[in-house]
Amino acid sequence: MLLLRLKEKFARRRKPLKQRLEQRRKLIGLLRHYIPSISILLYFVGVIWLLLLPYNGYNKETYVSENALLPAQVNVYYSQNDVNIANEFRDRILEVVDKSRESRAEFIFKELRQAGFHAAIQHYTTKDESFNEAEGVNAFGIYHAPRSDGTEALLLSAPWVSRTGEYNVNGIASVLSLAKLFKRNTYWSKDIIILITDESVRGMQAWLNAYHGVDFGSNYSSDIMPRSGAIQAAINMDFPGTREYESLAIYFEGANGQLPNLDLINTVITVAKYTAQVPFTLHDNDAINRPQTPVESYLASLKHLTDTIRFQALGHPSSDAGLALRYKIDAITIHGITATGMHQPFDFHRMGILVESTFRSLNNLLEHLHQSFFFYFLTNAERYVSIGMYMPPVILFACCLVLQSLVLWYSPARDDNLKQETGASLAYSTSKKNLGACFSVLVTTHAAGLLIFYIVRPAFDFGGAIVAPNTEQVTIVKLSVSCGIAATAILMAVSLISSKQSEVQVMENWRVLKSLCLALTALIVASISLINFSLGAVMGLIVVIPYSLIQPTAKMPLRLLQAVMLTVLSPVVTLYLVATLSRSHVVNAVTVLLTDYEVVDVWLLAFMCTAYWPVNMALYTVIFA
Amino acid sequence: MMTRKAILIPPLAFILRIVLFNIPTIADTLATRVEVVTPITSFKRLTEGLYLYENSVPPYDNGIFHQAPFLLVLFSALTSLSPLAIPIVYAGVDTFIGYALVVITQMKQKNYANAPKLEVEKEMAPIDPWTVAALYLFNPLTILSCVSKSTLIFTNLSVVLSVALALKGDAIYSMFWVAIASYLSFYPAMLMPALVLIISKWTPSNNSTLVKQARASTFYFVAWLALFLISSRILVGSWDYLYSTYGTILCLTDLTPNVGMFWYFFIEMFDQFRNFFLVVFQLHAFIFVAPLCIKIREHPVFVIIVLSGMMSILKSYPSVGDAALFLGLLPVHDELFKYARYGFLVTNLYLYSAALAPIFWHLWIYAGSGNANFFYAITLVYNLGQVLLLIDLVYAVLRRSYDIANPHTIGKEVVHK
Repeated sequence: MLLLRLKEKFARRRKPLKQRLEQRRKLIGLLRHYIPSISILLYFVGVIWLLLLPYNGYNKETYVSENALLPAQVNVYYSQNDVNIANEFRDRILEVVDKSRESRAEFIFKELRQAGFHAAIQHYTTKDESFNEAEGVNAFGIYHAPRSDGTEALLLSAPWVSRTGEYNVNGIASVLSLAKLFKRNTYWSKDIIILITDESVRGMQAWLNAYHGVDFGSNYSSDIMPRSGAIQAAINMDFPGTREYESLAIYFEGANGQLPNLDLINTVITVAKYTAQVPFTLHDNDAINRPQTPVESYLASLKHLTDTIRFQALGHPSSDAGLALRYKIDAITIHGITATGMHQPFDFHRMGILVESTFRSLNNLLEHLHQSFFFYFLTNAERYVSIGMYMPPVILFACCLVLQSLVLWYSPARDDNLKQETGASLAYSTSKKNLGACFSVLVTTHAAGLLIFYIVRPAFDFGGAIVAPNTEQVTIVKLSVSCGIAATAILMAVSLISSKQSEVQVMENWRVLKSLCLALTALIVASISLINFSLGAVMGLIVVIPYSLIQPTAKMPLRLLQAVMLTVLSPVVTLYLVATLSRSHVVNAVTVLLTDYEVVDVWLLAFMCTAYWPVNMALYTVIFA
Repeated sequence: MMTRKAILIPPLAFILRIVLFNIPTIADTLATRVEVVTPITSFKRLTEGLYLYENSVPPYDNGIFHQAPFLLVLFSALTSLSPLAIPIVYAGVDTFIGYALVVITQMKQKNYANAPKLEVEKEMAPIDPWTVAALYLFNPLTILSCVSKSTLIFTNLSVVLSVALALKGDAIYSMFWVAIASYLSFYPAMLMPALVLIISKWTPSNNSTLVKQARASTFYFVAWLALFLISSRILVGSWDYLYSTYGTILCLTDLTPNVGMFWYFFIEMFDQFRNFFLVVFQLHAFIFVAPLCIKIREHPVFVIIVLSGMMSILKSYPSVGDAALFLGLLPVHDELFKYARYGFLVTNLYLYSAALAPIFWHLWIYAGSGNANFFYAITLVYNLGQVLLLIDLVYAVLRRSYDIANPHTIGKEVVHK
């Protein structure tokens, strides 16, 4: 009863139909008029939001979330005696370091065996820079801890060559002395694997593949590969040369932008701070000169953030440890920055304490690291930005595109039928969109993208016509062939959309096509940001405004300007720009991209060819329709 | 009848499928994707059952195989023929479903030729039947489902055949096919009343009333079903298969994730409530049959479309193959599209769920940084898209009927009360 009466009351207060329709029309007109500017505004809100993240008010202090870890709570046993052992190892490593791979591995194998490890040598084949078959040798040993049931293990690894290009002498010496220490103590509840990898990335990848049974191409010194259980965490030691270090750097980004559980980093940082008492930082940034003013601190945080974004967006693992993440192994690299100044440097003793204490903490784990964050940004080693804070900008970018796409989709080519209406709008609409032409454009460009992907891939050698694959010439040929395919696809798409059609239809077509392209870009940005936030954010940052601005015009210079803009955004030119900025040659950049794809299984190449480039090609059609 | 372009559609669709079958990375990946295959349609599980069956071990003893015994016989024959037989059968069946959709569209257009229409519809030609087939055959969901060798394709075939035969007025064989479909995956039994409506509405030779027709059809349906069940008992030698097939569908004993709503809910469920909610969920799937058959009885083919949409949302083990059938049948009633309001939104929801489902699955299963909530969230998005599409369609059919009945109100404001 009451409800009915209320309804009647409201019904009486409603304005007459004509007035309401007029209002509605006005509102729609307003929306249509302002949405493009609103969406541009959203973009800038997103950009400002991103720039606010390094500011201390928008990030929080990290904390150890997993109670079992208890970092920096144990007595450590790494003593002067172990330092002497490490020093001795250093001298003996210096003797073998210049010898063949085989004898290096043999040395490690013997030492590990002597220390009581179940040791083995792995001979693997992989592909070198020019994608020829290449061989390498890893040496590793497993300590089957007396209290472990062999289902869980911790990995301590070190490459022969450091990221600085020097030999990783101190790193390996420290690892070997730690191996002896680990064997001496009885409290291990997880097996410990010591791994010395040849040729860093390739060696690490080959070993991980073999350990997890992915490839069967390796030979071992023993009949079968010695194995332990699931690796719970890994620390990769990278301490180049034979001198002392002024600070500890942490590299944590994995392939395809994956990150280790934040608790692993927290543990190492806590141990470094309280037990080992060494200065620490992220990447190769300055750890000694702490920022004093807020501006300095903001800039330092921004630097950390952009470093991470760079590694993640390229999908490139920042260190060998990054490869392990794909096997659900949380891993980081600790790197010693060689001492230059007068600050109190550290050597084997504190390195040893650091790793020992960290391993003791990891040994306490009852289950896989899962408590803390997997999605975060570090603005410095002790502060993080959580996903709730950094996700909105990308959502804003996507919203900006979707809103524009909606306006284009619902705006008719001619506005007259809107004006002529006198009564209520019809419940149905008989206007038809020519989706066929637009879809065929998108299908053409995607097919072109797929074709380019197959041609650029290192495995593709033009049907065996080229004997030595992936020389500089081949890369250039591949790049030009890709550009040719892209150009052909664009020409085909333009002819598809503009042939045999009236002016009005072409007008209608470009709106629908642009609407589809923007919606597709929003989809790509939003979904890629969930697996690789940085890639999504970078893509959003560079494409949102240019893609929004594109529309057909009668003026030739404007058309050309738009075409130039799209060309700059096309992958080949972007790659060229990135290569120039990082002072290398475009061929080298392609080689890195291909190596990442072939050896480390990075998706960036596939993403560029099959998702990013096709939309870029399709948008040329909008200009020239 | 067939235009020149239309001639190309079936061979192209067939060849495309055969090509995809021969790319092992695609075919093998699809065969294990949870979005595409479910415990009750997986070909991998079928081969397990088949192996046991061919070695005279009771195939339902392993707790992995949950498919109907007829499929065992069919595939046991196919595998003995040649390794090529299976791809050819799958591609052939899918192409044939496309042809059956052509027949359905033609019959529907013939039946609606003299039906009342809107003014604007009089100068518009109805959709070309072969366009309907092309929309089904080149729908990515259809292709994915076919190449994954999901046995759902046989259910879909039976459903479209039963509709086509019902439109031709053949009660016995229409009931035969719907009984096969129900026998294979249980839920299509809900299509039976709508098929009876089709038969009694458009068969001029049949002067019996709806009640008589319903009685006869129910008899045929039950008789066929009984025949299938008993012959299955003879084939596998015990009644165990009933629990292993229909028991799994009804009691949800296998909680492998899929794109539906059931799995997550019943993983989280406390055991004491499980039975109650099982009944609620299963009833919910069937509860729409009566109201739809009463309210929209003038458009029984449309009722079939809506019910197939309902199945693809509310059945216990849905996959994209169910959505493929629903979306394939949709263009048969193309005159409703002009009333549809959510096209852009629904398309976007489908696209987002298509992109995000594999990503969230990766984060959950491989990267370990996500969890089950991620994947479940995306199945909610997917089903939201389907529900919105259904709402839009039902609105369209009701509004169109209203506009036809009250042409003077077109262009005026109508207040829903």
